[in-house]
Formats: sequence, structure tokens, C-alpha cells
Amino acid sequence: MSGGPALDLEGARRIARLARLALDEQELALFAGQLDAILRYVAQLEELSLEGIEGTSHALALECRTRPDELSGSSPREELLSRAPAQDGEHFLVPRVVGHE
Amino acid sequence: MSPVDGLHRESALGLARLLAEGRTSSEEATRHCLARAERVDRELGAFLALDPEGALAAARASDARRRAGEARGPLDGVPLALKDNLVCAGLATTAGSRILEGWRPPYDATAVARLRAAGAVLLGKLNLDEFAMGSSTESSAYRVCRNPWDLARVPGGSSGGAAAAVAAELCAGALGTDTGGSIRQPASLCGVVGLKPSYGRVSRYGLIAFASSLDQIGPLARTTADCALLLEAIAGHDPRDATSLEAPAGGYLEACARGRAEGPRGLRVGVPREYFVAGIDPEVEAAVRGAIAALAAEGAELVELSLPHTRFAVAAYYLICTAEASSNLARYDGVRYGLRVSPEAAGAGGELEAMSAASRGRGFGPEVKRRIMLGTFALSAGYYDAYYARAQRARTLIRRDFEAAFARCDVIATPTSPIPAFALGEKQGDPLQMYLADIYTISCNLAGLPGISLPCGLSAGGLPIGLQLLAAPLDEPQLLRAAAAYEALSPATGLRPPLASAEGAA
Repeated sequence: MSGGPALDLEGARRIARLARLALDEQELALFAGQLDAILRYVAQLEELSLEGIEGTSHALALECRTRPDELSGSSPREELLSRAPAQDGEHFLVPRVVGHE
Repeated sequence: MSPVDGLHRESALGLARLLAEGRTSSEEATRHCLARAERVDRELGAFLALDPEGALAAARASDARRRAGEARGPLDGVPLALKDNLVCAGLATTAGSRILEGWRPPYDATAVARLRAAGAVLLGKLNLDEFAMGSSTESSAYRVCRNPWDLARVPGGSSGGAAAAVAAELCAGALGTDTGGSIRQPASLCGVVGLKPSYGRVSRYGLIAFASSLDQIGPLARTTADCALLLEAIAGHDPRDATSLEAPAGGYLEACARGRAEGPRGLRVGVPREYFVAGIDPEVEAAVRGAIAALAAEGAELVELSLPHTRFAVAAYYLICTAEASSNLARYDGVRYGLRVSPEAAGAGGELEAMSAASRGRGFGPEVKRRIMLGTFALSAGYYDAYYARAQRARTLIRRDFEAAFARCDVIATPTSPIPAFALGEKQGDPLQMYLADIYTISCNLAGLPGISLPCGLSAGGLPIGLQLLAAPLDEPQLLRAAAAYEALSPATGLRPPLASAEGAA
């Protein structure tokens, strides 16, 4: 977490790919610089002694709750399909996922 | 002056009284608000969309109920507005983002459904930072929102449209959302009251998710009692949000009445030394210290406190909220709703992944992209332990600071924002400086506490300054009692922005 830049241009390119974000070179350069500055700021967390401290994922202790396994209402299929960029009345349509060899 | 001339100046409870006494109708009040919004908002930019048709239909239905002797309670017929990240059946909901432009939700958020069930009239959707990510409303993809006290300044954010609309008297109250201060900070910058409830107090069902362990819906209004009135309507368990709490809700208006009647006598007010350090504007410090002194002069007991991990809160928050955001916003992939860049235009053979990446690249604005990048980095292999896991452990220390503090006091008093409203454009281009504007508000979200901001003074330049009060989880009654007690003492109570007073009785 210390040493050279926390995030360089190639690192930013890798993260953009993981995040499914198409960014142009200008954006990549801008974000790499800004994120590097932010990561240098958050590095102050290294000063904390965290030995034996559990993480908090939620502020309040939550128990998993169950509910009776009963049918309840859901949105009609046409309602949901009608909001999609491409659909055929039964499915959401997407570009080919499996390549043809 | 007939009641209608000054209807926009009325609080929600004031309107409720006029409606109950038959001195105005919901239709009259709604027409008045809509006409005023049409006129004032061209310049202000608080609304993204008005819904005159829906609002007037709801108003007429309310009037019919009242004539039939079936009015539902104090909110029946009162015009309110909603931050545009709360879904509302049939009304375009954008979250301030191009990626959702034109999307009409098929259902109501639970908080919205509860307002409708109480008879409230919903005027329209309010401006916000894109996906509620920001502290100035400048990241809205749609329009600039201005501060009614000075149109060259930001209203704060991300619920900037809500704070500006309430301050400019376009509506008596609104619902906003608060992930790291997004209700309290704009309330402070616009001189209104903003309440962030305890995590889990209000259902998040139908709130467009930003950071699920931090997000909470809450009211903005011009009085503490109006915030209590709105909270009464929206609080409580909802089977559709697994994080909403079953603990009984209510007693909020009563708590305000008690605060007004009894004042702060006997209240133990914690004053954390870490909130009054370098970086705070001297006028903000003076106003907040003045507020604390006023509470003490009326019988509150001041308790000096330390919240030693305060200075780590911004770092922990921006790792946790961005990690959660990167995961929540993965759903905008151009498949089921929202913007899609056609596969051919996306290049790379028109594959699914290229289509999603191109759609997200075009649909999201810079602040959202920046946060998705940061969150993806913090969660990525090799960095998870050093960043995300460390931030979660820091969160534990921050939460423990508050547990120890609330063993010694009933509420904690701090500034809401280190500075009054800044100029439009002033902090754009420097995200870290923008993040540091949230320094006093984010610990509350990390610890799940309820918090409120209310006006405590004006700067020499005529800009509002806010006092923040915090209480232990689920102790909204104590928080509102303290807030109402201070409201009665505050030199800023009842001050109106130039924009509202210049409009006069029109």
C-alpha cells in the first residue's frame, strides 16, 4: 500500500476492464491520477492498530430472517420486459455470448 | 391576507391545520405550489420533473375524502416532493443519471407508498448528484441546482434539490436520502432541517441503491416538527427490506412537543473535541459553539468527549461506499432497462461484454465512473485486505467510539459542514477536496446513528450555518426532543432566503 504510485495507467486500464467501463485514454489518465491521490489519502488507515478487530459490514447486528414459503405478487412479465432496450415479448435480447469457433 | 397568498410559507403542519379548518383546499395548495415552482425553479433548478396531472388528481381525491369526513390524518392533501432516486410508479425516475433517462418504474418505493397512503400530494422529482454521489448536486446529469441564499453557490448534496426546494418554499417538505451526509449537509447549506434516521428505521425498498450498508431515506423540511411528521409516516418495518428493523416506531411529534415545552433542561450534550479542529471555518465554529452555549444556558449539561477515530472516517467511508457502489451499479448493464449502446456501435465484434462496457461508459458521468473504479480497485484481488477489509475494521473502531460516548451523553452536538455553501465550480475537478466536505457527517452513517441538521446562524456573507445533533441508534425521540428544544432558542429559526422573501406574497 506504500511506495510508488498506488495506481498507474495500466492499473487503471485493468480496473476499468474489471468494472465493465469503456473509458477513453483521456479518462483513464485523469482517473489514474485522481485515484492515486485518493489512495494516498486513504493510506492513513495503515496507522491504525487493528489487531483482533473484527470488520463491521453493517452498523447494526442483523439476523437472517425467514418468511413463510408462500406465493406473493410480482410484477407482470410484460411490465418488466417493456422497459428493456431489446426484447421479444418473452426474453431480454442480448448480443451473442458464446463465440462461434 | 387570505391564507392562499401565503400558502407557500406554511409548514406542513400549518397546511394541515388550514386544511382541517376548511380555510384552504388541497387543490388550492397544490396549484399554488405548482405555479410557484414553475416560476421560481427555472432559475433555481431544484426539480427534475413536475407532475401537475398526478399531483392535482391526488389533491382532488384528498379534498373529496375530506368532504366525506374521511381525511386520513395531518399529511392528507399536503404537497410534498421526492428526491429522484426514490422510485415512483409511472413517474420517470433518473437518479440524476443519463443511464436511466426515460425509465418509468413499475412500482412505488415503500416510503413513497406510505406517503401516498397518508394522503400526501407528490409534486414531482427533485434534483440530485448522479446516483446520490456528491456533496454539491453538481454531478447531476440534467441541470444545475442553485442555493436559494446565493444563486452563485451550490445547495450542497446529494439531496440538493430537496434542500433548495424546501428553502425556496416550493414545497413544505421532501424526502431525501443520506449515505454520508446527503440529507444533513444540503440542509445545513440551505438553512433547513434535515433528518437522517437510524440505519434500518425506514425501508430502503425502492431506493435506488448506492451503498446498501449506509443508505437511508429521511425528511427535509423547514421545522423539526415537520421532519417528525414525515418520519412518523415513513418509519417502520417492511418485509420487503430485510435490513428494516422491527422495533416499534413513532412518538416523534410527541418528542418535539416535549422538547419545545421543557427546553434542554437535564439534557446531556456531548461535545467531541475532534470536531472542532483545523479546517473548520471560524464563522461556522463560532455559530456552533454559540448554539452549544445556548443549550447550556437553558440547563443542558455539557459533556466533553473524545471520538478518537474521527480522522479516519473519510478514508474508511470512501473505500466502503465505493466498494458497495461498484457492486450495486453492476446492474446497469444495458440488458434489462436503461441506456444501451448498440452492440455494433460498441465494436469488438458486438459481444455482450463490449455492449455493457460501452453502455456504462456512455451512461455514467465522471463522478460515478470514478467511484466505480475506486470501489472495484478496493475489492480486487491483492488489494481487498489492504483497502476494503481494513476500512471495515476501522468502521468498527468508529462505531465503538460512539458506543462509549453515548454511555455518557444523550446527544452529541457538532457542526454539520466545516464550511458554508461554496461557489458553483469551486471544488469540481478535485474530488478529494469534495470528499473532505463530508468530514462531520459520515461517521454517523458508518455507525448507523440518527442525525439531524438544523439552522444555527448565518455567516457575515448571509449564508446559513447548520448545527448537527447525533443520537444513539433508534433514539430518534431523544434526537428530536433536543432538536426542538434548540430550534426554540436558535437565532436562525424562521429566517428566509432572499429568493423566498423577494418573491414576497406572490
